[in-house]
Amino acid sequence: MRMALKPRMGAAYMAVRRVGQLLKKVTRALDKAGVRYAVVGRAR
Amino acid sequence: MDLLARRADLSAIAETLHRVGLVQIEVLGVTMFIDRRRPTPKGGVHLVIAGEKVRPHYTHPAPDLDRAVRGVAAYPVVDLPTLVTMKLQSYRPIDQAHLIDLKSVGLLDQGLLRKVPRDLRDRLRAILRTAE
Repeated sequence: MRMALKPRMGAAYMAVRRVGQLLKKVTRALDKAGVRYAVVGRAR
Repeated sequence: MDLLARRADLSAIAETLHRVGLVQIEVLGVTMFIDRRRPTPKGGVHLVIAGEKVRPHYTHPAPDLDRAVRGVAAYPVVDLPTLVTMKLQSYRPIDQAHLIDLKSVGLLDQGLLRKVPRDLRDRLRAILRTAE
C-alpha cells in the first residue's frame, strides 16, 4: 500500500509546487506592469 | 490558478504574461494563459472577468476589483464574503470542498449568512451543516 501511494504523493507535491511557482511568476509580472487583478483561486 | 481582472485590462495582461512565457487561448468561452513549454489548460491561468457572469445561467456576475484586498497574501485577493459568494455561485464539487475546508479552519459561520446574496444562503447553510 505504501509503495503504491508514494509516487502519487510525489506527483501531488510537484503539482502544488508548480502552482506556487506559477502564482509567483504571474503576480510579480502583473505587479511590475501595474495591472490591477486579484487571485481568486489557486487549486488545480 | 484563477485571476480576477477587468476586461479593459485584457490586452495589457496578455502582453505582460506573454513576456513570462504564457500564451493566451480560449477554451469553452474561458480566456486562459498557458505555458508555452507545458501547454495544458489545467495548469494555466484562468481569467475571470470582473462584473461579468462566468456562466450564462449564474445569477450573479463576478465581483469588481474594488473587493480586492492586499496584505492578506503576497498578492491581492478578494475579501472573504466575496470569495465565499463566488464559491457558492459556482458550487461545483471542488467549490464545495473548498467551502468545507474554509469551515474546517473556522472561517465560515452563521454571521457570514448576512453577507452573501439571499438566493445563495441555502447553499451556505448546507455547507455549515456539513460534518467535517
